[in-house]
Amino acid sequence: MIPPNEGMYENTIWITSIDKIFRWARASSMWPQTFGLACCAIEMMAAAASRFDLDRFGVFMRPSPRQSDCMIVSGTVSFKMASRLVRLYEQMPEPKWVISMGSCANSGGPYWQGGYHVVKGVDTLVPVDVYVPGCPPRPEALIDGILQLQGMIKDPSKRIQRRAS
Amino acid sequence: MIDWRDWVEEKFPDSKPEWIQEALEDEKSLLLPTEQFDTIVRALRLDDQARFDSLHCIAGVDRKQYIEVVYILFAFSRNERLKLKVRANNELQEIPSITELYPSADWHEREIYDMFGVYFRNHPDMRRILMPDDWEGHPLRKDYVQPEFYNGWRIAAEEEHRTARPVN
Amino acid sequence: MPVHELNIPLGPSHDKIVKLTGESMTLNMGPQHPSTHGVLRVELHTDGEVVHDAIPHLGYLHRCFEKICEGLPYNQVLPYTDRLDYCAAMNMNFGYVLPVEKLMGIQVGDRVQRIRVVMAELNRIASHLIAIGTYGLDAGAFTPFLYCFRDREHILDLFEQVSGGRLLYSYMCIGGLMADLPEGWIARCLEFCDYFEPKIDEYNNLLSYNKIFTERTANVGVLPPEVAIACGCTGPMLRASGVKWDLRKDEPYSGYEKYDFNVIVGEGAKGTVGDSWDRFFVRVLEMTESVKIIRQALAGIPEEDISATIPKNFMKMPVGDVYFRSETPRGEIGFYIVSDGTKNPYRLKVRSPAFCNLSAVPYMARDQLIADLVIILGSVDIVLGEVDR
Repeated sequence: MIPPNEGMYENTIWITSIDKIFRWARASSMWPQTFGLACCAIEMMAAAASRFDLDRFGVFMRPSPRQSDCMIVSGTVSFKMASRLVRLYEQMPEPKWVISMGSCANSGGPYWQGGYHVVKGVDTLVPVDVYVPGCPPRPEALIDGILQLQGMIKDPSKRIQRRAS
Repeated sequence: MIDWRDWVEEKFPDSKPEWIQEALEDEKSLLLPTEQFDTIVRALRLDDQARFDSLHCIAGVDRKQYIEVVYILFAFSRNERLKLKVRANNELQEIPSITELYPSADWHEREIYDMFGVYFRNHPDMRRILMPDDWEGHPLRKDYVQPEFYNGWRIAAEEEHRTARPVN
Repeated sequence: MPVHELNIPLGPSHDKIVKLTGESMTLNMGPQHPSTHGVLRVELHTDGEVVHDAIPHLGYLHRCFEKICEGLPYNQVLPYTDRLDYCAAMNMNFGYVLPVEKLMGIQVGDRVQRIRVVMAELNRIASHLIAIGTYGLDAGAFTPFLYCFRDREHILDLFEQVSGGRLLYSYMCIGGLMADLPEGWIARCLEFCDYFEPKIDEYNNLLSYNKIFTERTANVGVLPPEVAIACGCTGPMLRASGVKWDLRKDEPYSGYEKYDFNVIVGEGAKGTVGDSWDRFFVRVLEMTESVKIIRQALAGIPEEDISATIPKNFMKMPVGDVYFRSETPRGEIGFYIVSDGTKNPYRLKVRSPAFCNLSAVPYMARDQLIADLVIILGSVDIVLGEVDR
């Protein structure tokens, strides 16, 4: 225990900008929408469960798009689902981010050739911030993607150009 | 063990059923005429000797000159399986539906319609089940060509891989 | 004046009791919904909270599996079968390799058969853990979900040591296995069995015998056995309705006839036979039986070469069709394969258990409350990957 009068007021006063605080708050409490479509959804659930806890990163799954600020598209998007995905994306309030999880969401995955009903990459529908590769990606990979997104939020210079669709 | 071909011929003399025997011994199928199909299946379901009380699945196969629909019936009491084949070869390509005998046929027949375009007469709800309602074409046919756009979205990937193989 | 002494007059319509009727309201549940276990849309026609009709709409995850497989050789179809029912990928692989081996006339050795049975049963436990955990989540209980996933991680560790994948393995190949068991795997697997058996009592205490859970699930969504058979239901759903039918006992394959285990049938312990509690409890007890099978399969496993019966190529396939079914955690999966002699299948049709189980939902959901519909859908335990293929 620090005895009084010795360094008691160090590190208790911070001087920063409002932007930095907002960015820190947005990154540390990112609530994704439970948008599990296929196999990657099971790995997303495993990432949120006991062994790879996502709650310690401030990530807490929300069922409603209106209460979430991130959409983790986990699984294959089909053309039937595409219009619903765009609608859900539009229902999310700003600021919002999209993590494309798994190779099906990145580019169509194993169904990219000959899959007449599979959207070849969710970035043709919505702008994507982070792509997590894998089929399915391990929960650690998803956590890495979330941490990358958190880094991008805290430091806007790290953001890549969104793909024009 | 009843020979189902003889049994069907006895009950329906003008139906001319035939066994189709291919590579495997126990995988023979009974080819039935399309028009009388539902009456024959009714006999197979309700008759005391037959009592095939469960339908496992209905599969469609595009054989280019016709579309073959394969029904796999099962009798729980005797642990016996029977494979029936019906050909949809007239221009309207209609097969009588067996939904009132086997309620599980409902969704299977909708899937055959969706994938092959075969209509099932007297089906309670004949519409697509897997593809969107406004999709054009029946995907599992051998001559199906993937359309280029669907509702403004491009279907095929933008950069095809150099060693892309043709799908059928 | 105290309230009970007030003389509050009755409303004006009390004497002439007017029968109030309403219009049926159409609600949409899904395709994005926390309780539909995937992208399923259920169109509800309700009168207030009471559901008159629940019509499932499928196809939101249709991934063109059957068309893609017509363009690939038989061994390259294998990774796509994993992605059908992704919660039980080993069982999907198993269901696919069995008819192809039957078509080609391949007889695999005893070691391969035993390892396949062990993998299928381990994956059955893992899949039932997902079913139980998410069912608790549907009913509002978060803790069993975490407990189930904790135990499932041990199984996924075992699978990762064997095949390299956590969820999708492509482990069983036609004629054998991709790789043999690593050293010490059998000991670790038996250690897992010892660790897991007391956990089932934990789940029972947490969830099965929990008063709130029982009140939510007992007598909800009763499925009579005749309706179940008519709808083509199989697996735990059929067994919970009282029909004693398990392919592992009645049409055994891959050495299942050698193992001694019970077929769990629903008895209506907390309500009626065939209600949601029965469907849930059948899955809990099936996990115990799977552990028994795993122990028996690993005892006395011979040392053999697992790649001895793997064919070199698929150039000379017999012309014909084959239909073979096997028991997955959701029911009976059947693969109908038509071969025209070439190295690609001419037609590959999957008879998916969840597709047929789902067709019973409109019958079960009649005149139930919307909250009960969530419980019913959870008890069917669908995986949209295999419903939509």
